[in-house]
Amino acid sequence: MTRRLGIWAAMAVIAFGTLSFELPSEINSDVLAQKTAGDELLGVWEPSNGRARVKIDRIGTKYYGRIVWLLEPNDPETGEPKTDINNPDAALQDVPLKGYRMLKDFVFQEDGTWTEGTIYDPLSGSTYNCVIKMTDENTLDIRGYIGVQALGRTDVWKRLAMPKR
Amino acid sequence: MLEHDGGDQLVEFHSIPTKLRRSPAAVARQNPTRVLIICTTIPLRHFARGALSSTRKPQNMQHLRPQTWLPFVIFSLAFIGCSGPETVHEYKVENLEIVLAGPLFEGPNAGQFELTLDIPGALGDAYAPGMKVADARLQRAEVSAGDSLGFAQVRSFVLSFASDNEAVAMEEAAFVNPLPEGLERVALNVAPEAELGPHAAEEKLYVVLDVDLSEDFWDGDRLFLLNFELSLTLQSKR
Repeated sequence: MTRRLGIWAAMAVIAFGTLSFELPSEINSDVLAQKTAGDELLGVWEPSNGRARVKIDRIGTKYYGRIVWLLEPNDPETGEPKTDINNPDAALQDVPLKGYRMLKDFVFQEDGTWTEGTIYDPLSGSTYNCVIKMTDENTLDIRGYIGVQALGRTDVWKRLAMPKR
Repeated sequence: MLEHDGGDQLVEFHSIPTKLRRSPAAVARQNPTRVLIICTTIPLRHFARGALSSTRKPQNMQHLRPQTWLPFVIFSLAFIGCSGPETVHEYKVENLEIVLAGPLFEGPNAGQFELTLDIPGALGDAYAPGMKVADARLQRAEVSAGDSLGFAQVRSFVLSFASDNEAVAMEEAAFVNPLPEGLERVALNVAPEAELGPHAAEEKLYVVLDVDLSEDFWDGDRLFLLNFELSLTLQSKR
C-alpha cells in the first residue's frame, strides 16, 4: 500500500512538476506576444511648452497619442471644456479636445524610430507628417514636417510618471 | 436580409436595390477621387497654358476649344467606364462589447474591439468574386451601458476606426459631447464625411471607443455595448 501511494505521489509530482514548468512558459509566451518591439514609446509625455500631456498607447500594431491633460482645459470665453473647433471637418468640431488623438498611426521601424504617422495641431487644425525618435528612455524628439523631413520642426517631449493609487 | 455570426455579435447585412446606372452626381459622391480628375483636368490645362504663354491676351480663349480639352474628358470618362457597377449595402453590427480595463483615470479612456467584416460570407449568393469595397460611410452609431453602472461618470464618447495597414489612417466617425444625463442608450453624432472605405476593405479593423470619465474608477472594468451601421458601396469586377 505504501509502495502504491509512493508511486502515485511520484506520478503526481511528475505531472504537477511538468505543469508547473509548462504553465509559466505559456503565460510568458503570451505576455511576450502582446508586448512588441516599440512599446517603450507607451506612456504619458509632455511637450516642451508644458500646455498638454499626451498618453501614447498601441492599437493593433500602430501607436497613437491622446491628449489626457490640458493646462487650460476650458475655453476662456465660454467656460466650457475646449473642443476641436479648428477641425477641417465641421461635423467633428464639437469633439472634446481632451482625449483627442493628436498622434496617429505610428509604425515602429527597425532603426528605432516611429514613422508613417501624423501629428495634429489643434490650434490651427493642421495635420503634419511626423517621425518620433527616442533619444533616451524619457525623452522623445517629435519632428513634424511637410513633404520632406528637412522642412520641419522638432519638439522635445519628456516622459511623465503614471499616477499610482 | 442575410445574417452571419461575428463572434458574440449579431451582424446583419442588407442589400439595397441596386442602381447600376447612376447619375453623375451619385458617381461624384461615391468616387470623389475620379471626379476630382474630371474637375481638375480643364482648369489645370487652362492654368498651364496661361502660365507658359505670358504674352497671350486674357481674352484669348483658344485653349478652351474642344480639341484641347476633349481628349482629357474622353480619357476621364473611359477611366470611369472601366470600373464595374456599384451596389450599396447596409452592414449592421450589434452588441459589440467594448471593455475599458480598469483602473480607469479621470479623463479619456479607450476601449477597442478587433472586428472582421466578412463581406463575402454576409452577402452570400449576391457576392461575386472580385468585388471590392469602393466606399464605406457610417450611417448610425449607438452606445448603451453593458453593466449596472450605466453611463455614470461618463462625459463623452468618441468612436473611431483604425487599421494595421500603414496606408490606412485612423478616422474619427462619431461622437457625443456632452453626454446628456439620465440616458441608458445614446445615439452618437455621425460625421458623414468620414471615409471608412479603406478600413472596411481590410480583413480586420479596430473599432475604438473613447470614453471621457469625470472621476477615477478603481473598481474593475467598465463595459459598453456598441451598435453601428455602415453603408458599404461594393464595386464589381467588370
